[in-house]
Amino acid sequence: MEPRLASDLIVSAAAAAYAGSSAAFFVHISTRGGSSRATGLARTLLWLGAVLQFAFVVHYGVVFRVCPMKTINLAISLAVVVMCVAYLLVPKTFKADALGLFVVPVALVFLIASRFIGLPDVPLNLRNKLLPVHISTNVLGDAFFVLASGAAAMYLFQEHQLKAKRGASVFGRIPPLDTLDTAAHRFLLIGFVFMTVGAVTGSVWVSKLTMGTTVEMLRIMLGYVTWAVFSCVLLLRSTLGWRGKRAAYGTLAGFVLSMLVVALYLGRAGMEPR
Amino acid sequence: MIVVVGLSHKSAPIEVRERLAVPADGLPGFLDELQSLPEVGEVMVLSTCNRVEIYATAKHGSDRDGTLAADAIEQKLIDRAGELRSEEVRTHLFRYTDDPAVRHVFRVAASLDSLVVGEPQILGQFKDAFEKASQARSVGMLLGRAVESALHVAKRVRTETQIGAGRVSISSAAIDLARQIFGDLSGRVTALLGAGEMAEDAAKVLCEDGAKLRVVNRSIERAQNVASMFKGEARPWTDLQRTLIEADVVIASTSSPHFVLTRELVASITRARRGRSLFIIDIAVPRDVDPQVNDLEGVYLYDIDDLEKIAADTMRGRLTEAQSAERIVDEEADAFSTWLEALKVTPTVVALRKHVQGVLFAELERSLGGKLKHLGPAERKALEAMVSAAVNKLTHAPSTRLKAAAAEGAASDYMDALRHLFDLPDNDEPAAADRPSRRDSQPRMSKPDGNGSSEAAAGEHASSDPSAGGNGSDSHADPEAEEPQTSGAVAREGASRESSGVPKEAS
Repeated sequence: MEPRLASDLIVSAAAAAYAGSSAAFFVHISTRGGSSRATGLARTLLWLGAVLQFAFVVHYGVVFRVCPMKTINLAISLAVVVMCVAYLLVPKTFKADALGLFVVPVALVFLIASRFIGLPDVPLNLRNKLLPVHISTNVLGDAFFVLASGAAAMYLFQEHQLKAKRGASVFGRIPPLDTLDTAAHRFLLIGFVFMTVGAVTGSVWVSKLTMGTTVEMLRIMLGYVTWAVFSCVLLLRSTLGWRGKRAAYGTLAGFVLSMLVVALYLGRAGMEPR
Repeated sequence: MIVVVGLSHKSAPIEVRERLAVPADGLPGFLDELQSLPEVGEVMVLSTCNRVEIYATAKHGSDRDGTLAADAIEQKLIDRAGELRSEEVRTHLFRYTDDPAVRHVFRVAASLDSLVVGEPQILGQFKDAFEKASQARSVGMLLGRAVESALHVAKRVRTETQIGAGRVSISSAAIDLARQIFGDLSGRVTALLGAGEMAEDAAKVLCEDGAKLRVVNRSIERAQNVASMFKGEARPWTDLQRTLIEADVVIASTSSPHFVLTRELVASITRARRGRSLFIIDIAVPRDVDPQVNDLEGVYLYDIDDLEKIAADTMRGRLTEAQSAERIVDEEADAFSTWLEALKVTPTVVALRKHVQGVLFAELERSLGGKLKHLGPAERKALEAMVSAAVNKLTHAPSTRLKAAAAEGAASDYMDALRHLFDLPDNDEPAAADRPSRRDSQPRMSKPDGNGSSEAAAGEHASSDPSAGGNGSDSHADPEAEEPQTSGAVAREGASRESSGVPKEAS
């Protein structure tokens, strides 16, 4: 079988698994009191999707002799796998099933993006030994930010329902409010550690980018702003007790910025011929 | 024939129900009384605060519609009512027989007949009643099977519908909300402001979940009394602000005519709480908490109306789910009915086989004593095997078709025809199996198979044995494998089956 066809088949199967998982999570959320059957199916399909996506990265890397950690889209693919596995390994006591409704569609989007956007080569003048560390820590950080922002979004939704005296509408479907707040904080903390390493290693290249394009400069600036936003969220939580709604908004703001950075990376890749 | 006689919250007021209620220590005696009724076979008593129901089987096959058994049980219940006039009691009693009786038992076990639809306690009470009846050896195969099926229905309803989701009382709705905000309530601090009965109920459930209680009251003595009930801590009213800073859940139920928790008061403590969520339950009328408190970040206020609305919504949801549950009851009742029909044909199948076997073996014995006298033991054995195979072959088709007709509820005419054409004995006389014996009355506890075939199939298999009689090849190929039966052996087999497996009341 032609290698590209094989990799397309793997991607298609992974996409189908993610789509099925999303649908099952949706059934769970829309069922009164939640549906344990639907979540069971959703988790199984998510495992399948993650394994297939990992297989895609390995296959692509081996067949086309590409190091995943030196290409943004394959690295993002790997980060998505990490994100899915991290989510699946969250202890059941957290009752974080509903978070899947946020995690899985993100995984699906990135899977498709990694298939249709070309593999950009890092310019020769920017290559050095820290490059794989820079890329992998940043994408791992993004993976945890997806989880954190999913929990934050769910927190805000549930908070709104409780304030509107519709608290019973979420019984059994969404994790408790405090659980979501704690989960968002922990995911953010882990992601922030990765992102900080990524920022430090990335700083090595800043001097070389003085002659870079405006988009590249914008991307770097946005990266720093994102790091600053996340650090503010964490700092204000520990010093002033900014948790709950404020922390959730801060997490979502940081997430939007981090996704803009990723979009700029992928956009650059998309503009290059495959 | 299964019979249900009793009364429930739907048919009788508490004044009547409490007269007929059977206390736990009086249950064995009452079961004995019911068993001693000549019209009643198996019996079980379900007595709860909302119902007193007798589940029984008619003892005689001639009591085809169960009227005699139902009359006898009804009279027994009326006798229990004591001073109440019998006609008055009778108006509150209901009775079901046959299929409606089975459906009623299934609905009760599945909590579809409960005062609060979907409440889980009835299933425990139902199991308990069954256990008591089993201990009293008053349930046998038929009622045992009905109860097992009812438990299966209840399990399906619980797992396949959301009938038990949410809480339908105000205090339990409040607890659910607290869990939705905090998750695990263990170690959470609950502050009780004032001490009404409903507040105590809610505090009790919270404390059972591991929450720590602080009771704040203008009367410290009253606070101490309530706190001691739940191993909590009593505090004077002056400690209100400190208590609010510590609390995760606040239950307000003072008799104050104005707000005791104003927006300003709660806002003043939010900084000290460092963003922790605060759930306030205001069950006082007039209200204790300013509604504007709900606008504060991280504070969730629910008053009595909000909680009642949640309880009502949950109840509506349960009633919707009850429709799905009713479909499950219908499915399982149909399956039970099919099993019961199959059970009814078993005596006829056994009688037919016995008849054919008796005729053929009688002829064989006559021949072996006459024209075939010269045959040796080996030849005689081969002939007996051949006749056995012929019996199997001859009875296989009628047995199979009778079973198929039973599954469609159309076996009655076939059974009558068979009995008439072959001059089979009527099976309406009571048999040993009508009443569960001390030895064999323990009901089978395996999971019902859903198509209602096991016992009936076993009975038919023994009588017609399709595997042996379908083609007869096994018995021809290996005469040693199947012991040739004389008519005497067949008679013994039939007698033993009647006494141990097939109750006459099934017909």
